[in-house]
Amino acid sequence: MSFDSTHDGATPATVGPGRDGSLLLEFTGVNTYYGDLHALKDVNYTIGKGEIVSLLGGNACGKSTTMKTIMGVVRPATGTVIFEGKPIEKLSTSERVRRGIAPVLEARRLFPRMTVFENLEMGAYTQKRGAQFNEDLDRVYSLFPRVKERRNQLGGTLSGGEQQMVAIGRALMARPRLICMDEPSMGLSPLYVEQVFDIIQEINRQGTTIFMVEQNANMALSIAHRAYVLQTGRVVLSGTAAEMRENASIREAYLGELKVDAAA
Amino acid sequence: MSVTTHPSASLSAAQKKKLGLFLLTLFILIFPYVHDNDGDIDSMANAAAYATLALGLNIVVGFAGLLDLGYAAFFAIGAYYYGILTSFQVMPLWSPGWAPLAALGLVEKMNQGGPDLVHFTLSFWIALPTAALVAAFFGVLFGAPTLRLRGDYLAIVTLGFGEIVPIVARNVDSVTNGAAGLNGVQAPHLFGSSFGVSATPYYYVGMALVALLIFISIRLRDSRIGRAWMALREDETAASAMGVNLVRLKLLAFAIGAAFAGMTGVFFVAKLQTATPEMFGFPVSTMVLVMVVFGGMGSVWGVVLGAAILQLLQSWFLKDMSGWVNAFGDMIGVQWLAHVDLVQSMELIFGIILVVMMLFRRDGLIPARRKQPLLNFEQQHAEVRRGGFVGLDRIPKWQPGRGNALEVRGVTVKFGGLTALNKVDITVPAGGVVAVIGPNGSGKSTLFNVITGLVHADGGSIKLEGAEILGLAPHKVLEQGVARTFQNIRLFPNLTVLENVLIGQHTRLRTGAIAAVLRLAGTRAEEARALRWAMDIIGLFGNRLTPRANQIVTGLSYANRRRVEIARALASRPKILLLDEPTAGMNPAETLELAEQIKSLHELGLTILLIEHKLDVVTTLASTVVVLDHGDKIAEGKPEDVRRNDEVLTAYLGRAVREAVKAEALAESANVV
Repeated sequence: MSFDSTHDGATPATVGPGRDGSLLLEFTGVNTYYGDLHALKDVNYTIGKGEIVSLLGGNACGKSTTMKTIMGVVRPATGTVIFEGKPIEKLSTSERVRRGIAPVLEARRLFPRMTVFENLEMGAYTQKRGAQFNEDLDRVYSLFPRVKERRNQLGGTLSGGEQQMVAIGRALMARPRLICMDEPSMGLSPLYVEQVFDIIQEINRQGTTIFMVEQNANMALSIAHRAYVLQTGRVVLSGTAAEMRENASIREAYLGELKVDAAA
Repeated sequence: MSVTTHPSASLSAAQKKKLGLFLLTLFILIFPYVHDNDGDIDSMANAAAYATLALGLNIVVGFAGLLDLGYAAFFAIGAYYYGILTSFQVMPLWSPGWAPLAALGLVEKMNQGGPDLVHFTLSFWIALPTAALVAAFFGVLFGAPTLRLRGDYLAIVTLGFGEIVPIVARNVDSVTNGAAGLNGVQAPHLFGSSFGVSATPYYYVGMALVALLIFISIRLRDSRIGRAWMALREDETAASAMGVNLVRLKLLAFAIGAAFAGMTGVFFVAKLQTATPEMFGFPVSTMVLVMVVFGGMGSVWGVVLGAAILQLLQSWFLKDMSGWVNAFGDMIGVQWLAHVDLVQSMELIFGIILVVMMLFRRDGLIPARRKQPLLNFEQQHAEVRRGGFVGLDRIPKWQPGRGNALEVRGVTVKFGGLTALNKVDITVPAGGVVAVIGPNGSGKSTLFNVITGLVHADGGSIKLEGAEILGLAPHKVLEQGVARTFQNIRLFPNLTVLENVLIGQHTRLRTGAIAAVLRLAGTRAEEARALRWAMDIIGLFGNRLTPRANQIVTGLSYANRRRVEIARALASRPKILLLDEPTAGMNPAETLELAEQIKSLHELGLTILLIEHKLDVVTTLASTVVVLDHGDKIAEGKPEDVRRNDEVLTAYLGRAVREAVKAEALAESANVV
């Protein structure tokens, strides 16, 4: 199915937070440091199967560090990260991808001198080549007809919006159960932002769990089921997206600095 | 986390440095008297020669980032220059025309039983500085063809030059005596007595040369020139967009590096009193490069230490160690230990040292930059003052001229078959703010690139205050008064906030290489002014950047890096500022803050051209909006008009705006009814 630009953006009722109540990813008491810099302070997250969970917060509050901790680019000093019931905090990044977590990196990070098709092939690096590969490729092409048109073009020659589509497609090729997205809307025109968010929602509807860091809180909360708010490395708020949209301090954070004294 | 403190630091860092320098000088001065071994003193003199080579290559590779694998070519040029002009190899027939040179002592008349001949007798003390000039000339000559190359390609071309020079030396027998080499090169004379064959005088000359070149290296490094070299090492495109003349700075690096090698050549040949092509082959170039990497690329003291250790290892320590190991082998009766010659395994030992170094200490013995502690979280999140700029009163107002600051007329840019910009017209009135919007890939960034000279236009004209700037090199465009930021942030990643902003002032400062070395009062005053101005600009962002002025920019948050880039562009005091998506990656609160800051710049009289996706930012700031789609200008007008334009809605704005506009229209028609 291709995206539908007239979709109203409402959360589909069939997918709820932790549909069958089972957890996919769990952060418990995670502390991460860069040298003396305490980047994540005793952070807990839970992400249920089938959810879209959004992580909000200002610059340098620990959002990207969270992503890096999930992907294994940085290791937590203390705490556990559980994926599908097994601790993963000691695994390498490539092993995590093999286990079913795929990243969509900040600023896309395509392989600029490889074609779109080759970029997608790299996404499937952990998968067996065969009928399944073609099936996955068809799925990506049907989600992104534009990517199919551009399949022989070099990654570096695409526009920002097209690159973002390839980056998401590349993540899908790894057949992930969880996709971690770092600022999917950055640098995109309003029209592309809407398209990308429609597709994220569609991917989720097809069964993939999404964890997303996003500065564009409005868009993020319009498709997320739940959200966490990070401030200086601590989770200061969490709740359903609907609650968040109604929350006065979130509205305030939208225009001024967030002032939340009671840590949630 | 425990905080580490430095206990009992009774001496300040500067005092320690002075004391260390004093002890080192003392050691070098008395060394030949306390260690009376001519062989070891000779080793030290050789180490000094390699240290000067390493210092020279460090300027090319470490400072300017130009990988040079043929550096020994300049060493050879200096060596043959002195060798030919003091030996008996080239002896033209005597004619009275030589008499003035003979009077200066540069040549003498000679008779070996045939006609009178000319014997060149260039003094060592004249050869030393003139060899620097000759080698620098060849540095420019060899550097010129490599200007457009970088990285691997540059390395290969320099490798070629490194091969060409010894090959020429081997084959031009009449001048160089070919593979056999020059013989009878004169030893230097001082106050009428020859240096002869004792190592000690060479040792002192070598050490003096090292001291001089260390001094020059440090002075250059800490100057406008050194900053520009580091900028082009970090990011050539950004450096040129910040006003650094790439051609001139690269050639300057090649020339100064070559000059160091030329002087070393004179010293080395005077010491050996012979010169053969083998002394300047590829292994020498690699050896010097290894010394630079081993000691610490870009680190002046590091490369000297690296050269000293590696050179002394092969000519002194390994020999001594072989003796000890052999004695030990004899003692315990192990045959191979008793006969092993470590000098024979020198390459193996070097190899092991290098691999271990790269694994555990990649930045070299003395890294060019010490790792700085990051600010802790409390410092990072010290109370932030929001809105506008602070300290605006310290920034002089811009005086926008009358009429138009920037006129883009019919500019077309083609990439192969793709038309990225198609006859685009844009006018930015003096003191105005114009925004460019459009879908991704519509040509917005190309527009900025063509204005700033980074891409070539296939027609059209771009005038800044009436003067054509299309076709100028990027650094010239900046000099004329157009500064920019980049969509994907192109700061100089391994430099500090302050250094980044200082480089923004490059074209507004005058210090050249010679002034940098002399550092007279005028230069010092200029540097102090530059520093004050940089801190004023950094201070505009309140406590966002000021406490981080000495931090390496890679450690900063995304929003702060964007701010540094704006500060760097402002430092050049542009007539017009080009901002490419300044609020990308910022949350709504940060976006608002930056929008207000851009507004204060506008109120100070600065002309601004802005690419931005966030419509509310565009609406707040811009008086005119230009919409690009597929390289064509599809609309232009006031923000509120453009927002209602059908074509713009379809190509760019999406349903949220479309619905808002629809609602507005409904409301209006309801009012009419």
